[in-house]
Amino acid sequence: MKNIIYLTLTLFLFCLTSCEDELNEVPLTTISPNNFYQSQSDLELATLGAIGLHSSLDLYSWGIHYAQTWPAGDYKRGPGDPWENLSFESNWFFSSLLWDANYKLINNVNLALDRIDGIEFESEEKKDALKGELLFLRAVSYFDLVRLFGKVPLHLSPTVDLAGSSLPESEIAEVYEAIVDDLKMAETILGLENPYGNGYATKGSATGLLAKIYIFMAGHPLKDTSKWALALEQVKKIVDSNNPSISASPYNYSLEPDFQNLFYLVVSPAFSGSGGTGSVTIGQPANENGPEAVYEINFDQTPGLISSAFPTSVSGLLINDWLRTYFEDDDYRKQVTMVTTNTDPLGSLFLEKKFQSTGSTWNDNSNNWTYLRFANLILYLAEAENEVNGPTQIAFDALNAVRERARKGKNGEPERATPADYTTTDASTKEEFRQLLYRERVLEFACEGENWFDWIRTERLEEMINFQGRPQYYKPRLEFFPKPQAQITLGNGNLTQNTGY
Amino acid sequence: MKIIGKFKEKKSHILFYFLFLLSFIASAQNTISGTVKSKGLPLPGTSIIVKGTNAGTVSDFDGNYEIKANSDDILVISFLGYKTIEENINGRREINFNLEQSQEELSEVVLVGYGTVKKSDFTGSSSKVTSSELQEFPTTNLENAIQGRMAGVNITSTSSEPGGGINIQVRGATSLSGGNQPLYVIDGVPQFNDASRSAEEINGFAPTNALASLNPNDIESVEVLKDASSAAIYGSRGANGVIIIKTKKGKAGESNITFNTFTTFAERPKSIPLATAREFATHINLANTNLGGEPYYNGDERFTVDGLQSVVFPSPEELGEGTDWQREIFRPAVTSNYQLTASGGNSSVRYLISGNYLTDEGVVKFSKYRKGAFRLNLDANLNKRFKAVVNLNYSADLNDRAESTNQSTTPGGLSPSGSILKSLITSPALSTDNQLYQVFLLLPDRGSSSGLLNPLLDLENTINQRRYNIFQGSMDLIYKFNDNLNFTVRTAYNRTFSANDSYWNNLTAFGFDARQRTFQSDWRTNSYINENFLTYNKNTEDFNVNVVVGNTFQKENARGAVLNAENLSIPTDNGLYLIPLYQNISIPQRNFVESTLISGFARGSFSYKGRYLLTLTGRADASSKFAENKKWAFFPSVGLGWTFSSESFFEKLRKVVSTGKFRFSYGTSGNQAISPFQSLSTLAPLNFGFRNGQATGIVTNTSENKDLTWETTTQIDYGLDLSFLSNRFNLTMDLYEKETEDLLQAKDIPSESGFNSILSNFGTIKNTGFEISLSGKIINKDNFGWDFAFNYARNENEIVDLGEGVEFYNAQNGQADYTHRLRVGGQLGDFWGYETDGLLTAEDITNGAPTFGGSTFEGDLKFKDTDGDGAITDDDKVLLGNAFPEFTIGISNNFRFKNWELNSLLVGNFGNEILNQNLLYGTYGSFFGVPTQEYLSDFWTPENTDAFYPRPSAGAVNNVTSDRLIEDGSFLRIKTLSLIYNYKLPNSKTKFRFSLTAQNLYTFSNYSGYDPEVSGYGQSVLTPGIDVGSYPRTRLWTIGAEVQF
Repeated sequence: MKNIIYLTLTLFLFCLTSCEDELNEVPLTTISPNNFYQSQSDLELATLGAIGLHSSLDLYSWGIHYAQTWPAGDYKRGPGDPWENLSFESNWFFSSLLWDANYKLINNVNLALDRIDGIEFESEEKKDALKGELLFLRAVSYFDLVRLFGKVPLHLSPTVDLAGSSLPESEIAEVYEAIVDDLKMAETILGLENPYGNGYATKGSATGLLAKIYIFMAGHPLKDTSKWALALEQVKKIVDSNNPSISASPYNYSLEPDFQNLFYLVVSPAFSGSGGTGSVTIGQPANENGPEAVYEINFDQTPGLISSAFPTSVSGLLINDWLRTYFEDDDYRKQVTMVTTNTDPLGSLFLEKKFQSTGSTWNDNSNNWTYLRFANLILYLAEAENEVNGPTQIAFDALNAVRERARKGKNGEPERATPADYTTTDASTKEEFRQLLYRERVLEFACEGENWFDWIRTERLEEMINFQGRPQYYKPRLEFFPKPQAQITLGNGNLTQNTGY
Repeated sequence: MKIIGKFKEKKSHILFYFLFLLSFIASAQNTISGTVKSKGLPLPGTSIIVKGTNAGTVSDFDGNYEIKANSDDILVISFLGYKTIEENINGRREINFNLEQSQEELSEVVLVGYGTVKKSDFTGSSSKVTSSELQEFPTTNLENAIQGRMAGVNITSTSSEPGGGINIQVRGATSLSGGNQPLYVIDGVPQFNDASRSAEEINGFAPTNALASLNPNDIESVEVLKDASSAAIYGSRGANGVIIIKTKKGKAGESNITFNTFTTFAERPKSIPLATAREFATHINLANTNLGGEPYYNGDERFTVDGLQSVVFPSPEELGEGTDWQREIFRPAVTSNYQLTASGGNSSVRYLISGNYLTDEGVVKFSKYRKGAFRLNLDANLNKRFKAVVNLNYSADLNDRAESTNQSTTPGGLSPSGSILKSLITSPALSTDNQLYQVFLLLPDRGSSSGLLNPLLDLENTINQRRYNIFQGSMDLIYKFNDNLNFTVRTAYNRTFSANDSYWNNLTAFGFDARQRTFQSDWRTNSYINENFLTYNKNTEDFNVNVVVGNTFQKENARGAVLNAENLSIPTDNGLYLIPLYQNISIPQRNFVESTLISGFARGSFSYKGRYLLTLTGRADASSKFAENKKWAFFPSVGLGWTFSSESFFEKLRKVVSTGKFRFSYGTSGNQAISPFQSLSTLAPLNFGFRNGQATGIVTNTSENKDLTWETTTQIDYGLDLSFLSNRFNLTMDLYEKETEDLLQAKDIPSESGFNSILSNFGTIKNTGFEISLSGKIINKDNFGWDFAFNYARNENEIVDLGEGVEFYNAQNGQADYTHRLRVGGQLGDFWGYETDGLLTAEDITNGAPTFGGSTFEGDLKFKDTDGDGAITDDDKVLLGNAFPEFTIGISNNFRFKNWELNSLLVGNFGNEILNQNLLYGTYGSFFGVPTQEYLSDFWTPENTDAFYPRPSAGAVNNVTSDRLIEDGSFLRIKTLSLIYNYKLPNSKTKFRFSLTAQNLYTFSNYSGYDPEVSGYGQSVLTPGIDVGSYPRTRLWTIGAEVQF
């Protein structure tokens, strides 16, 4: 009997000591953060991961385009459509989508930034190139968050435990200061080219975006007008104020000679809400990462993977009535922006054209997103110069540089009469010049997601919504989107909903 | 050859001398012969052993035996179920024996984990189905055979398709995401619960069926352990009940060969009356004009964008009846099953071998299911001390399925949706040989109509094969120390291989869009088990003691692979194996998960004077799935019993109440059915299209949870067992309350942390219920018998707590808005949606009645503004019903008259609702669909403003979850009715058995769909009770024959 007891006990003890190890889990299809972020290649993968999140479906492949373009009314929507009547509430799908995705990106950036300094790289240049890219991405995310939601929590270090998962909101100015800090640092450490190639931020990307940030800080809601001078100074670093069509030394940006070069010219789409032929016909590919690209979000059609899915390319959207007539008929940019003839094989009249699908399903297109192009900086020069010094020749030159490119039309075609250069007879005051500039921004950047936030910062949202013929839908609350209600609940008092939601 | 032959010869000489020598030595022995009988009938297979030696024999078919023994030896005559006799030979040459059935062995036993317990000593709660019940009608799947027979064991099929999955709930659902399926123990081997893996099966394939490897004919009994006291021995996996399955074994001396075959004819399902082609075209035109568009069916020829092709949409007047797609895709189907079983053995080795082949066509055209299985059960007495039990089972099936999932159909039909749903939404104006879809895709305005998916063509041109192979092998090695003490070492290995291969060619809508596509996935699982336990039994006059102590180690891993390829330029009928020729091949995916369970357990059962019963059980479990310091848990339980009928004061009543017993049990069990690695913080690769092709980065995946641990279920059970009139009638009643705490759920955390949720333990669910089983032999004559059994089970579920600050959350599945709401104080399975109040009238609109997003059209559904805030919002949703039945019943009646048997089984569910999502197509204005005749008889037009159904419109406000989709789901089904004729050849052991069975003979139900037993989203307890394109259950007619010799 004793033997039996010993035998059993031995078996038990054997298992409890030797099998205990078996209880430790070693996942093989995922990676543990404890043994990652330790080498240059780890950081390269982490940075590429952050770029992947930034160009994911939730953000620049798809999600953010809804928030920045659709409410602005660039596209024709039917009555009852929440984009038409601007009726989004605190349970709005895009609020949580953009909130969650941006913070996921930010946490990934924070994790990488937290470790990068202590890691040996083959060259400081590469380390700076990654660090600059990470700082740039964090700046882009906070810039989107602060424009979308106003006061938001500012996470600048990685979340370690649940206790730190929710922070009190920071003032809008604080968020902008953090963005400025990130971009200044990025501007310092980044080179003119990023050794990791296209799709990574360069010194020019940081310099240019910082100019844009100052312009936004000068506008509503901060209205820190002291920033106009900073903006002017910043934009002059990159745009040659004597000849705004080219960039200041040491940068090497210029306008594409043909406006169409910025976008794919799709003759007939393979897949689109407007019809399809089974295989796409591309008339002329976009000159991706060309001379005008200050920062371009890169996509490429890859089987089975998500690539760009701009809603314009997949929904067969029509350009809204007000925008059709906003263009002078002979403005070359009009025919690049929309279908203007009945015989266009792409589809119906006024179909959006800049971002037509190049892929075979709705989310595998190759089109890059022109996040910041040189034309934008030229117009910022015009705007800042006007705000600081009034409608000077520099301001007019900058504005006309963009119009001149449009006037040149297609390569080899004779120059058009429109859009003609503006002169002092068109605008003699600061205010008159503003109107010309604002109008130009709409024409140049139609469907490129600039309008909504431009109108908010220049306090013209109500005016433009009225102009579009839907005044009944304007509410002051529209200056911000609703924060996701679920996050307000989870935030346990740390978050407050924006007024009016 | 010669040399070998010679050698053999020599060897046989030696053998001969040996035998001669032996016989010389044994010459002092006599040959003793005789007959073994019981109640005057010969008893074949009785073991006769000379006590203290290895010499022994077995009685033959007529009960005769012959054995050599010394005249003063003692013979031991034993047979399972009979009292063992020891007889001194005393010089006799002929001894006849008459064995008496042993009362003790006769009394029922309960299969509990790691052994059996006499029913009279059992303190827990269980239900049992025995082989005689399993043989009441021929069927191919075990769940069908046991459905409706056990109180508190609710069995539904997740799909009625051949080889479809099952959903078994014992005493209600206890878990939100930790799995609700019971633990299966087959011949002592706990099967790894597949819940965590099937959740990972890709693209909504039907969950695998844990019982799929088993053949009902091979099953001896199925025992379901329901309460904490009996399930506690399986500790962390016992919370959802334990189903113990014992397969048949060979018996000593009884050599049997049985051939069994049956053929089942499945009727074509009933058709839901839908619009004719003309009615459909008129309807679509109306829907389009209501949206401000043009009539679609107007007789115009429409050209594709390139102008090369055209299509005519005839005007309604040109159309007639059109195509009845339900009629086109369904057919009557035939199932054939063949089985050969051989069993037998002697006192040292017993065997059972069975082989089985099955084909099932399925009622949807182009589908076919085939399965083959093989079993070997062997047990051998190796010597006086050692015994070995070996069970091997292999089954393999090949299922050509009727497309993959019925759950989704999108506008444009680009997803690989199910043919049944398509048969309900395809335009009847389309002819069966027509494939308009491709032309339609090229039309300039393809968005405005659909219903052009030809389901027949899609079925014919889609390959959707599932293979499922299962190997189960186990070996028990039992060492007998003495009569009271055994030690068992059990080792088992289970392996499954499942593969889903699909291919869509250019003629299918999906394949056309992707330019031919294949999607293939496969999973292999391995499970290794080692269990070691000591069993101690001691019965004295007053005390019965039964103790089990042991430990186990179980490890499972699963490997998966997925392949997805599109754009195959070569037209072909089968593109499954042309992978290199596809132009777009997605990156290969591999998956590997592994988990380990280590346990120690003990159980002691004590009974004093057969009246006072005590069972103590405990199990300590450690699972690799949980956080580092939360892996171990201990699950104790206690069971008490009092057989009051044995008390002296009960003497007088015993004539009527033959036995009476109170039972009480209390204890805990756990649940760990989550995927591995969930307590860990992990990073994962992110693949995306970047620059010139694919890029791969690393991003955060899950956040760590250092506290992740078990779900714990505490259960109290009060039971009463009564037997009447010398045990002719038996009544069992149980009252239980089980509370599950620390539910494994995803907990939302502030997403500014970079994570949306972590898997966490919070929340409480309670199930209370009541069960009655009554069975009896109403008539028990030699030539005529009537057995009756009835069971009733009632379960009420309550969500007690959903975590701090959470009042409710919504569960969504399918294309509508969410369908279920889990809320504190509510029940699992609660449907939530809008209440309707007729249709919007012109008056409502002028009065500014609240509507959805300001959408105001006469003839749309009018929703009640229950919170009175002047708008129809989420807050206006109300409780619309519940998917789980209030109570279930099962009634069986078995009649026996001479050689005839008549068996019937009725099953019923009462008090549940069904959410009929099929109505979203056609009736409630989703983007497309064919209206029902019911709809056409009363829908809104300017001339018929007080109609019941809304105006024809596409994508308006009508297609939301509302009370219009809710239907009464109660039903009472005549599940089986079978007539059996038994015939035994005179003077031979050859027996025949012929049967004629009707299954699903008639269902009493108000439900408008095909069948009220719906499970549109499989085993999900979050979204149960939804019908969307469910595979219809039809009436089955079976003829069967069996011969045994």
